[in-house]
Amino acid sequence: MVTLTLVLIAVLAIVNFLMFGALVELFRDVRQLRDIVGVLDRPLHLGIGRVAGTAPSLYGLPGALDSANSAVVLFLSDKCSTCRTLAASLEGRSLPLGLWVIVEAATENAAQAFVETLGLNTQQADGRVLVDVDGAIASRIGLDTTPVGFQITNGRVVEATTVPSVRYFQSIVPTPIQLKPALVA
Amino acid sequence: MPAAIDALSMAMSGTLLWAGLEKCRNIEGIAAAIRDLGIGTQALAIGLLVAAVEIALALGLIFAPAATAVQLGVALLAALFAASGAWALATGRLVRCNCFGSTGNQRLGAAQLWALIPWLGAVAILHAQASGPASASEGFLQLAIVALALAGVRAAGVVQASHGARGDRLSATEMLKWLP
Repeated sequence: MVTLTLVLIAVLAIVNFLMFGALVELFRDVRQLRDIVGVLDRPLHLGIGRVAGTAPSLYGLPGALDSANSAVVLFLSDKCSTCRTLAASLEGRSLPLGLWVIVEAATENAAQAFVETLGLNTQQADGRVLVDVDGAIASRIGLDTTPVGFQITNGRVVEATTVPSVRYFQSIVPTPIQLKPALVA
Repeated sequence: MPAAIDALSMAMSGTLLWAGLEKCRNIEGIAAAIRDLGIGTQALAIGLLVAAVEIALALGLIFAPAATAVQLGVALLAALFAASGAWALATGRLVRCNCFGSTGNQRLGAAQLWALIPWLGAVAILHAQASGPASASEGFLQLAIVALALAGVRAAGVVQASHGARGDRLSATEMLKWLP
């Protein structure tokens, strides 16, 4: 009886193994199809060359970033649809700590219109939503695509990736960990 | 020590069982590799034979690891794969290995040559130490453990793939709104 049970377990496990293999292939097929359509939640890493390891303020970004332990600078453009989706995800709530948004537009008015339409003007007050008229900051960095997130670690630019979705965007926003207030006896 | 020998034979058995079952699941993959090596005729039959031998040796390593035929078979199979790798390298052929199924992108070559060393080493250890399971039940227990381990590893792959697919699906919902 024990032997028969063990045989059954072995056979069922092998059947499972084969079926799991087929399932993995199915997932790969789906991914391949999504890749063809271009709907993969896959950020592309940008080669940032000389920018890597430099201070953000060198390119006109806020000086506060030079002393940030962990931050993300998100470049959005008023002409890009994904940028609108990303900006809309921030509407009506305070900007996450460690996130800076640079809005690129051809003119000051266009940038302000983008900021106001998407409700970013309320967050603009603390200086973490900036307007980059005519891509002045972007051109100093050598950036010609949006939306792009720059990772800042210990005050230095570490890497940059495209931000294909809100889902990915939310995953790269740093979550600052702060010490609890000391208990005074 | 016998436990270590059992673990070794089970690991070898698991490797061969994985390879054999995956080849059975997509026999065309190994047949294509055989064709790419220049053996045009009977590639499918040879592929089936290789898969069957792998599975038979996997079972042999569980139930009769001390048997000379099993040890010789494993050594010959490893040598055959090494020779295939050497042949691919020597002739400059780019042959997709399909050693563990058609999902990988590994090519036949140096890896098979290097793999010969641990395979022969393991066979030598079995030759010197292996005694085999005390009873049929113990053998089936080992087989069940090996099969469950294979299924477990595969299940982990399924979970990983499903997480990726879920991420793609969630992001696709928003991406489809702005795609041209």
